[in-house]
Amino acid sequence: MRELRELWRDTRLVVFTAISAALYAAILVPFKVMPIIPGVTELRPANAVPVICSFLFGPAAAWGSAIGNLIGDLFGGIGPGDAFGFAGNFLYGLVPYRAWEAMGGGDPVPRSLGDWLRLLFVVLLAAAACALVVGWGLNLLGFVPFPVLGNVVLWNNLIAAGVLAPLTLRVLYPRVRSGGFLYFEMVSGRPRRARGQRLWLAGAALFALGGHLAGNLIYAGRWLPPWVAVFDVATPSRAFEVGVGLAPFIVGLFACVLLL
Amino acid sequence: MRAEMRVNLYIDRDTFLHRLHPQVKLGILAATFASIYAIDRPLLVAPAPVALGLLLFAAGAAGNARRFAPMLLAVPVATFTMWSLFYGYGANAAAAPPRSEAMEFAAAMALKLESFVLSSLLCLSITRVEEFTEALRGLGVPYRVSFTVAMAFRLVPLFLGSALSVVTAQRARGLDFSRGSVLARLRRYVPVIVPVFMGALRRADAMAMALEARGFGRRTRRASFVRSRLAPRDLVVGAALAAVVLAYLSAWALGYGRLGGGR
Repeated sequence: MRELRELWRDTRLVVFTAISAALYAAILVPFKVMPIIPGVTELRPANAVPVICSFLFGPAAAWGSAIGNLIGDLFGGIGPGDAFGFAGNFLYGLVPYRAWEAMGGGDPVPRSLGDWLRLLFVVLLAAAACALVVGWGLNLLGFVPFPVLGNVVLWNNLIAAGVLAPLTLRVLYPRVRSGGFLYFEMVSGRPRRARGQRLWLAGAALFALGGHLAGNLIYAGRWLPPWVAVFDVATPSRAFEVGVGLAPFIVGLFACVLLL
Repeated sequence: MRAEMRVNLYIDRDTFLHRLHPQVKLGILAATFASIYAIDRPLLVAPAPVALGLLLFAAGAAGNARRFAPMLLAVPVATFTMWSLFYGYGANAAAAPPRSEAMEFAAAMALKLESFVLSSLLCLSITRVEEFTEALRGLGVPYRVSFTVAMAFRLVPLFLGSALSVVTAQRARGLDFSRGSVLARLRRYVPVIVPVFMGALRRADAMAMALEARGFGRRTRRASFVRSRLAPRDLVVGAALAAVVLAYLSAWALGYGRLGGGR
């Protein structure tokens, strides 16, 4: 929590936040590899940027991807749902470096099968956290059904970051380190993490992946959480069921990631 | 140049809308959301996109509307299709809403999202980055955060230009971004992303030093060249926006904007 606040006192980290945001927005706008839902979303190489920036610039990437996504949204229609886009992308930039550190840390340049699996798990966790928050928020507002947006965001982030982040980091990471631009070098060393890091990591994974599954089941009418059933309210857009049903997963996810 | 054109949507005119206080301009965005959000009847939502379209023309931003024409068409079509399929999905047969209700909800949602796109387009057409930052500060956003947003806005065309140059250079070397499987196409973006990142990092250190040299790190009160004052026209427009929001909220409270099954 503290590093997310204290970042704003360091001019270099403020600049890296702006750079992460601008890179994300700049690559978001022109590069569309393949449309997924015409006019709504497409497979975007830019979705790898928050993950790459997270490993390089730490918390600056979290604020940067949230701001970058907001700038990108301004060009595609901003609305109340963008608050959830902000929060989801904040997690997308925050989870990778924190989860990586919790899983042992080291250079995020995969050299063995174990490294690849670790990196892909981190990308999956970040993608699922972002997809859960965005999908939940937009369904809560009644704008887009969870199974559409949640799944599209998950796969979109997972494929773009899963393919591009390892390959790009292999080239970028050593260069950025030799330039002294890595977050841990800028703040003089890796901060000591709290005990029970792996427990928080397991909790984050449980809430992110479990919440995603729950969202799909609730929307399809296959599961109604008991804390929703007590209200006896049914909405045709499933805004109430998904909104209240996933709320504990969202709270748990944020708590685990912030404590990680 | 192409990049600059694609990102900067501000239209330099001296219209009534351009002269509004930055916070009133953001008020147009907020009023759009607040008024139509809870309304599910397409006929009640329809005046919002029509009014915003007219304001776009009044601001001399028809060119921006033309540039965004594919999106202005695709957003309502995709939204309508999606909600006509998903509305009431998963409900048991007895509780399923009638088909006409699904169509009405889908049409209202399509118009709502179209209104959000139009209101963003209007705001970007009449608001400079400095005004946007000033409005954020006026709303209580800390100076460093609003400065970062403004800085990111300023850097986007720069990085976009550099990315497009790299793409052109790689294409000239024979790299084809449009062929092969999705994974193969994605992988070809690595030689684009790496030089863009490195170029950005080279700027970062110089920027941080320049900011420090200008006293960015000091904790004193900030001065700004942009200082807007509220004029009578701002109060009139603000009151008009509040009246519209109030009218829509009253319509909703009286049950006019709701469909049979609720939201």
